[in-house]
Amino acid sequence: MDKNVQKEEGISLMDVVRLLLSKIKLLILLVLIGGFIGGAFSVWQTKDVKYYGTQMRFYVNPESPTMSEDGSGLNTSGSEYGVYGAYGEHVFDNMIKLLNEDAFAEEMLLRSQFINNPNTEVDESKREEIYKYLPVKDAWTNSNEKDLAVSLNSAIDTAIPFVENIIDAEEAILVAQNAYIAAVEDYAAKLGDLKNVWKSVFGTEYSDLKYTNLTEEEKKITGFADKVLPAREAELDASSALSAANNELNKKNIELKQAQRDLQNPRNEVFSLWEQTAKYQKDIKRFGSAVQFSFLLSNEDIKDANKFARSFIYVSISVYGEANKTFAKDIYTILKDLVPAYVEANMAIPQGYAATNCQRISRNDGIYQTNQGEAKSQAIKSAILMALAFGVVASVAIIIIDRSDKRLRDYDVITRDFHVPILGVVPTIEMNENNTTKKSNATKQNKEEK
Amino acid sequence: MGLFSKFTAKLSSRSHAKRSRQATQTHHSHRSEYLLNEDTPFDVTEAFRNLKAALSVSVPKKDGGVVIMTTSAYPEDGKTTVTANLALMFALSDAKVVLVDADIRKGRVAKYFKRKSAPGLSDYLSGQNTLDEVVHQSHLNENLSYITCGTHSPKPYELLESDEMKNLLKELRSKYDYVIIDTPPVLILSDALAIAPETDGVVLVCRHLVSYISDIERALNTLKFAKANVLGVVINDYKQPKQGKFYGGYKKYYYYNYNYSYGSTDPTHTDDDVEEPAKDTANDTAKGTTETK
Repeated sequence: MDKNVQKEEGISLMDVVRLLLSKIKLLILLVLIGGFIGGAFSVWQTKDVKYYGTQMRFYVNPESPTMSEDGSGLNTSGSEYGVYGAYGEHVFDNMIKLLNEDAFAEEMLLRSQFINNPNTEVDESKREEIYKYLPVKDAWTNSNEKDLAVSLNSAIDTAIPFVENIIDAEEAILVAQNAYIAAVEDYAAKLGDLKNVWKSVFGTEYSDLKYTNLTEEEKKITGFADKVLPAREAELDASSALSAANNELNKKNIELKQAQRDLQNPRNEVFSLWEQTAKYQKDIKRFGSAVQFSFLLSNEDIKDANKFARSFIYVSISVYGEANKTFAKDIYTILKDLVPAYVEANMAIPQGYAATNCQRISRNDGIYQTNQGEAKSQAIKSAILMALAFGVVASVAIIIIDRSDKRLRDYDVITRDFHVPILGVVPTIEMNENNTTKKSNATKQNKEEK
Repeated sequence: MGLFSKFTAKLSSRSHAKRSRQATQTHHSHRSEYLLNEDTPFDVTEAFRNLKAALSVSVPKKDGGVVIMTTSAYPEDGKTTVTANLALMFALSDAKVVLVDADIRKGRVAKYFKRKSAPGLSDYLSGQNTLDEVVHQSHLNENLSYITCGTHSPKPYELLESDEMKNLLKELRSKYDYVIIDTPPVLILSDALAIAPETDGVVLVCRHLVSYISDIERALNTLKFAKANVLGVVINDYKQPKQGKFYGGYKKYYYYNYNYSYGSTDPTHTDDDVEEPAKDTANDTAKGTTETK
């Protein structure tokens, strides 16, 4: 008997179709209700939703071909126009991956501090370095992770003197550079004086070789001792001063590099701890989710159009809410410079080219509301989705309820399972007003016939 | 899934109960309208005719009359309607038929014939009345008699199990071609089981989309256990699926071309019958009408 009952559980596709067709009105009603709910919910949800952002477009182009080693002409790629098709799709794929990494978001985060704390009195390069630590400090200040905060604070304290060393070294370089420039100018002036005096005395152009090979007779020429000789000595002094300034500059550069090397470990420590803070994660997520990158490599024939590559990187900024409009603006400001710099620094350079050039070509790309008019399409989409979902759920529910209903529907089951014949099937006897009317009509007709 | 099944079963039983209540409220006062008459739809009349034909061949006629018992698993499956109409259909085919309401607790046969239930079976079995006093002639057909359930008795099972009941059945067999007994639901009361062994066959009435398959199975097992000769099952209140266009066309074809209706000759007619179906129908209908008067 169990076997028979199990057989009854089977359901064919036609059974399902028949069942659903029998409940088609209910299904349609539920689908309409679902659509209405979906649409209404979407309208309610998107009523005050505003997204702000912009679209930026960057040209990515390999820089002009380099001169060939033998000087016979320009190196060119296979294309007639050189730059066309220089980058493969995988190169752009990799670049987009790099732009989507946390490292780039971190760079944006660091630069955002730079934007929001303008200080024109400090040299830009230094300012950047200093302000890079602001988000780090911010993370420490707001951190609830006490142990991490202590470690981070300590690491920052360790790093700051090294940062100051760098700043000192950079300032020293500036001084040395100024001194060097002054020495260069002084030497040039002294050399000029010497050349003028030489020409007036000897009537020929000055050269070190001629001066070294002057004969004793020539040294007695009028004007040599009182004009040429002092000018020559002044030129030698200026040359020595220039050499000294140059040495000093080199020395300061070495000191700066050393200071930078010294900073490396403490700085890594700071950033490593910083990256562990919840604030960092939150900020990185905030920056990362606000920007999307894509690229376009057009394969169209540009022979008759222009000689530029059809390679673009698209940057889409989108943030939620009017309160974040400033944030969108900041990102826009950052990316205007950061994307080209980052791409140029990280993009693979095609063979035969000197470098990669990245330029922003969208100029009227200020911040605007990006989802204007989307509410309607979203409502339609939601309505359709919800209607479908309701339809599917209702269908499944109808099938499940139907299959769970063990009332007598198909009377063949009695013969099949219980081996008892069906003696008769009596349809519903409907007694209603129609029957009464029908009855009276029939009776009337009978009487007439009689 | 088990829980869900229980839940849906509970819902279904509620709907069963609700439907039963509605049926009780709506139709108690109009029971007689469920009996076949000239306005009964073709398919209903045809169904009872088929049922009669099936039972005629299922139970071979012995020396005396044939005793057929009807029962159901639970109340409100339309058992009495089916039983009364079956008896009427037998009577229309010129067989002498007596319909016995053996549901002493809640018999309804009387309502179908618009009379009081007493005196009836219980009164006869308890010796209060004679057989002649409890056998009533139907106003619908001269071949049809009936015995109502009678006065309510505290011990209906004992009455039905008694020798008086057995003797009654013997007597009825000798007087009638068909003795049709309407009994209480077999899964609620054991009254039907007391009579079942004394009958030639038992018909189980089930209600389409109301009766549970498991209940039908239990009812059949109970009857078999009581050594009843289960003739088969009648599906009552059958709702024809809407997609049955073919069936509709078929019905229409017969209905409009041959005008079969209440009281017409059996569809297993001869070729001669086919030639003048309208005449047969008219005669039979007239007979039915006359009998009704």
